[in-house]
Amino acid sequence: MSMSAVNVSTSAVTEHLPTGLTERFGAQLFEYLCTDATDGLWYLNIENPCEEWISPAFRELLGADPQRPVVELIYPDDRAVAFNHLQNHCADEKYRYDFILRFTTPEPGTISVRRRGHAVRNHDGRPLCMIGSHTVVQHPATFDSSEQTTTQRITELQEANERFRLFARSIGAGVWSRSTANGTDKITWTEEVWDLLGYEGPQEYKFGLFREHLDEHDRERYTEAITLMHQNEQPLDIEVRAFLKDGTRRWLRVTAEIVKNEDGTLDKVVGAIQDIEKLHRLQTLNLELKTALSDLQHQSMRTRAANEELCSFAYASSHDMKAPMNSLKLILQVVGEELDEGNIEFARKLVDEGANITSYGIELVDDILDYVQVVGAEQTIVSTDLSSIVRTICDRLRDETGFADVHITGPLPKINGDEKQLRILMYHLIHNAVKFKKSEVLHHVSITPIYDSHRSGVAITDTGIGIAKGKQKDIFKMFTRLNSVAEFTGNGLGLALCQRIALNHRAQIYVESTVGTGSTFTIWFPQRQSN
Amino acid sequence: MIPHATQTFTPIRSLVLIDDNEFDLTLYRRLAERSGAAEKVHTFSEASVALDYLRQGGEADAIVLDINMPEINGFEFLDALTQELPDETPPMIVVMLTTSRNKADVTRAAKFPIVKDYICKPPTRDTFVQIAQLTHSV
Repeated sequence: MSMSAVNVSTSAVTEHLPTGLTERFGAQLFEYLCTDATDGLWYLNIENPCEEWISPAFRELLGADPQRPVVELIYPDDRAVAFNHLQNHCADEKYRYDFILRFTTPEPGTISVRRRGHAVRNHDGRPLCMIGSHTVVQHPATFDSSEQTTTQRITELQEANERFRLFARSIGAGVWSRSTANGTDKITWTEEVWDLLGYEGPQEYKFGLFREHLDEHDRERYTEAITLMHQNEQPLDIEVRAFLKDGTRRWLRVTAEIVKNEDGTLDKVVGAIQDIEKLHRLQTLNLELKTALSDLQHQSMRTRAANEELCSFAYASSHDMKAPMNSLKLILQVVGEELDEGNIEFARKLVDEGANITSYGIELVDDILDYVQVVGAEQTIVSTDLSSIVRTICDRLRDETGFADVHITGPLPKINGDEKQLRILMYHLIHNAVKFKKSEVLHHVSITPIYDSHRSGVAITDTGIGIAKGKQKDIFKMFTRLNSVAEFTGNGLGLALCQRIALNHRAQIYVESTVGTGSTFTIWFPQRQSN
Repeated sequence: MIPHATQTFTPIRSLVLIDDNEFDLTLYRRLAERSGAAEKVHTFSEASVALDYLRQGGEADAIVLDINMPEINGFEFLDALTQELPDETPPMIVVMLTTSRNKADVTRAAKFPIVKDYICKPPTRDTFVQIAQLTHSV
């Protein structure tokens, strides 16, 4: 009945099993069967009951002939009971095959044995064989009630109890139980629970004491969980915050199982209370690290994207910045010749043109600087009133261009965004609307607030020259110009900049336009208007 | 004085200049005319107008072509030119005129056999003389 005997038996049974079954039911099943299998294992082929096996050690204990069928070893009065249990378990997997059975002994008499078993089934659920274990629960022939043996047993029990508490302590847990036996209702804590909550040694438990220790935010949740456990007869497993005697707060995990009497009434509740403060801190730390990591990844992604954009931008802008330089070089070349030939008047005209080109070059550098700042810079997000921004822009444009027919149809939304960027965005959109006109007299620009359930934005409509369908997708690209400089000035940066600012604000910008009728530029911010 | 002015070369008959910057175009014309590289200089600030000119049998021994232009850019012009012009058209060359030597642009231009050179802005008198010499050598 030593453990080694059990181990041998296990492997002996394994050898008897059809191929593949150990893989299917393997470790778990055998672990279950070996628990309490102090008197070995047994095996029965259901399809061929002649094929059966019990541990040799157990057979020896019964003093039975190795050739004798197991059924004959069972005490005759109990054979029908055993058969019933077998039938019920085979029919319903949930029916537990676990009962006390008497075996006959060579001297006229019996021994009581706890017989447990589990049917191994095929894929359809049809039982193929039974595997089980035996535990002798009463052995009249060897039962010794002498005082010496009793003392020894008490010692053994105390040792087992000590081992259990050591184990509980090692995982930072204490054991609690609530017993309703004999009409009482009593809660008991082991020393470890009292320790955990900061008491000096075990005390008399008063009902509701644990709940009093709980953080008030967790009390209701805890009571609900306890109620649910009793209602649904399901195990309890809850994490709560509790205040210790010294006022510090800790996370505790409370678990419990319901133990019932044979008649189905509640016998007791047994559970554990474990200190999981460290675990919780680790989990919190882990979560913080994960968030920090994801922030870093996002930051690095943004930086990489900005770098790539700046590289391609530097390439494109150096190209366009050279254009005014080229023109100037050309002018200087020609001016030299004209002066040599005495064409003072034409030379003068060229010098004036050179001055214009220089202004254009300076403006271009300013816009490029704006762009670079928008791409790379950290954003300062504040609530920004587009109405006030737009009014300032309109005043400025009226001074610069003399054009006054800009109609703001209602209060524009307040947007959480970078004020400087929003100013640049609105300036370019309104400036374009004012700039691309068909004629002086008939041009109108209107600026309208727009809202839907989850967004707010602005629509800017003009009655200008419009944009051909095929060109509409190009206008947001850098240095794309649709019109000749002679007709409309500009460097092809404005809308690229707007697009970039929109991107920074996770806003959408798009254009609807008809050639000869006008254009509407719409920008949607993913924010509901907050008043 | 310009050192190359004394250099001997035969002028071409007709030079076409295409650039959307009208002011620059005026100066190109001035330089080209003074270089004596061509008997006639035709300037176009829109590629589509230049195409119409060529479609109607307009003369061109050499075309100096800007790349970045609104409406029709230099490459779109080349596409239209090489597809539309009949085979019996008198031989002509195209020289690309650009702000910088963009590798992608150079590669793209090289795919058109009619493109013989790729020059950076701004052109000088010498540039037009060289274009005349290149036209004769082809």
